Amino acid sequence: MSIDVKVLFFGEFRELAGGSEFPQTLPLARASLADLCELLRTRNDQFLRILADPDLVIAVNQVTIDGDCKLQDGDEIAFFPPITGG
Amino acid sequence: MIQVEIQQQEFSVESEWSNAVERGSGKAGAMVAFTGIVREYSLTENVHSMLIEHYPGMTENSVYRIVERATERWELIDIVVIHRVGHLQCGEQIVLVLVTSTHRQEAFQACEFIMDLLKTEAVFWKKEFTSSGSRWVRSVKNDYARRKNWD
Repeated sequence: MSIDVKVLFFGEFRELAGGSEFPQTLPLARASLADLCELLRTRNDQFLRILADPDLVIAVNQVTIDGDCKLQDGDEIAFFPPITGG
Repeated sequence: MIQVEIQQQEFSVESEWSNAVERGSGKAGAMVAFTGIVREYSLTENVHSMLIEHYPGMTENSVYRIVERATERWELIDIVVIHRVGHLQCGEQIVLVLVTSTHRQEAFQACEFIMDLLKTEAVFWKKEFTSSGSRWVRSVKNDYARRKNWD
């Protein structure tokens, strides 16, 4: 059993990642945000760099989050640098 | 009425102004408009264009929340915020904030408030292109100082 989530990158992280959208599948037993981050770190060096950025902001379903949370099928998880505003 | 648009295409201040005049007819005593423009000078080099990126959905909500906060602080009749995204050249308009109210104090203050919060809380990222390369913009300290003035 697994869940499918949408991983999005914005700003300079989008450039570093080489794309804006990367669908991921997570096993149901390991379907937390922390699990997703761990999975992404192992994918490639670019994701590893992004996840290591001290200014990284994470949003789940368009709400910024500090810490961990459970993910559901269809969730949208975005990784981006601090916003620079209008 | 609150109108928030995030769009690539150019906007016409004149059209938006006329429409707001019509909507405010009979009630409005004051209207204030601000337009932000892509300017040439950045920290070190001449900027010839800029890329403004947004997160569809999250960006609109972040701007709505800013406008809602303005309506909580001041009695306003009508607010229009139009923010462009995509590649913009020097001299192009980036953003319009247009506020209609009964009295001028609310219109002036709300317009400035919305603009100061757009600079620090609206979900956008900017990349500047100069003759020697490009760089993603980091937050500007002065913007955060201005934001604090409203607390």
